[in-house]
Amino acid sequence: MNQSSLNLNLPLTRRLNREISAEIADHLACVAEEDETKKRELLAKLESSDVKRKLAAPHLTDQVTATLWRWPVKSEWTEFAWLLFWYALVFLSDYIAAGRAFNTGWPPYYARAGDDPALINKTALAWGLSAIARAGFYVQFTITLVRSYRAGFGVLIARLIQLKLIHSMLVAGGFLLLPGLAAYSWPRIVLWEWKPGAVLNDATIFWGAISIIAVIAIIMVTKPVFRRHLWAPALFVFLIGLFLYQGSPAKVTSCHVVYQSNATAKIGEVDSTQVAYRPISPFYSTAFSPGRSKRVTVLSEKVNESWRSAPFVRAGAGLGWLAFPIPLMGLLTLLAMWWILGRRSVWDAVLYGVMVWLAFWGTIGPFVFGSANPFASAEYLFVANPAKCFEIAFSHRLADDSYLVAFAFLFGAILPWAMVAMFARAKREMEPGINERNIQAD
Amino acid sequence: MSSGSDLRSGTLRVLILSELSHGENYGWGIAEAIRGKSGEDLSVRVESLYPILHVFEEKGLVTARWEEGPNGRPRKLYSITQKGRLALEKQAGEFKRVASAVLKVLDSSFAGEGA
Repeated sequence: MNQSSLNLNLPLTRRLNREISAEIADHLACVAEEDETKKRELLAKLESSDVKRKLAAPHLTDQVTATLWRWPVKSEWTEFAWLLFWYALVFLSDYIAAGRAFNTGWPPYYARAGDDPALINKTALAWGLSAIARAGFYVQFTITLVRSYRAGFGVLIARLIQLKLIHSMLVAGGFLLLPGLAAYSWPRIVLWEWKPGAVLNDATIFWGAISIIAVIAIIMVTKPVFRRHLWAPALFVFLIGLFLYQGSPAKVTSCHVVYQSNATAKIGEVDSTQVAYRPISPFYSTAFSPGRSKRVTVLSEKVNESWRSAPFVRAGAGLGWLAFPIPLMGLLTLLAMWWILGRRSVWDAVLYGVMVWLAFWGTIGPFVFGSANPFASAEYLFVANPAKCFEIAFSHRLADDSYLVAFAFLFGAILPWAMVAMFARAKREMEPGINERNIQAD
Repeated sequence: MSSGSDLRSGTLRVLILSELSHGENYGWGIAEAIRGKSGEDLSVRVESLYPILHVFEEKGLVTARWEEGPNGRPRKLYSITQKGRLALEKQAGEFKRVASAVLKVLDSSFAGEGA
């Protein structure tokens, strides 16, 4: 970095970056007059991302505006390409899961599937692919947020606004391209005498245990420089283990079933209200706990103990997990903008309030309408959708009102951009003569 | 600046306002004045000084203008406003009160050791 043409490359608008660079250049010149070595030290220090972050810190609104309206830099295109790659895998796993799923009605929900190896292969493929794709997507998402936070808090806010739009478009597009998700949402639990099933069951338990130990070890044992480089691969391995384990083949426990006349199952020998009173939940599995075998209780009068269930996959669950951050990002960006945009005139405040209200409902609405309790947790959150209201949105509302919901998603995602454009103004300006004659920062 | 003790943000804010109360000044000038008056015991980091000045400007505690400095390079000069002076009075009063209280506690401790 040369002092005479100092460009700090702060994450700010060009004008403000030029202004602060000029001010620091003057400081450097003064330091140089006293001690050339100190100047060199200071120049080296100014290359540090931490120093740049601090210098840009007071200009939050400017950071948001600059990040939103500039052309993405190379690293951001790379991040976007990775995001699309993982999205494509998520979509593919959902597509395969939808292709292998079928509606069975009630009862029964189980069947032997030894006569259909293609179905087993598809199920296993969708299961593995879905875990890898979701883990990759979330790791990339986290990397993007961490990097933008390191650049500046305003950059983080802007990236949340951008990512919300990207996620909304991907989810809405994915849903429209995968018709019939609702009709084929819960696949039949197939049972077969498939030896790899037992191995996979044990392997995923082992994977889960190892990845938890690895994460703890990285946090406690390694040096910060390793943590900085290892956290992303560790998170990737951990998430894959988590997703794989939750849908892995499970051992089978036989039980006696008594069907009631109203087609609701009543379990005779198994004391499980979950099984008894949830008509579309034909099996019960233990919670995630590495080292503990998963069991499946099947509504059957006689089941072979050596059987395994198929890996449990849920068509549309991948899109559900991609949609999961959308309401969170929506709330965060609205709160952040309320904070950074400051006090408004009465008319502006009214307009701003209406836009916030619309953005809020565009973001949250598709998930909470039709859900008695939007905060209820889903039963199989890692296998299916992460929240009950997502389940309802994806299995019912999106089927009936898919275009409306897609529109609500996109409308809610575009509004923050409009709000920044309308309400965030660059306030600082250099005196015209000084700016044009003396500063060569750009 | 690397020599001397680094200032905490709250203390630096009071010192910057105090320095500007003597008259218009620019970033390096403020840092040098604080260093000089403290007998070179206090140093001001670039990444602390300018963000504080910009926040002060945003809050209306100081105003800024650009002028052509030595060798034709642009220089940003800051002046304290009336609002800034009021803030300085309040913060300096609080600072002196706390510093005096801390000194009393420390003095009593050392007096106890000597007895």
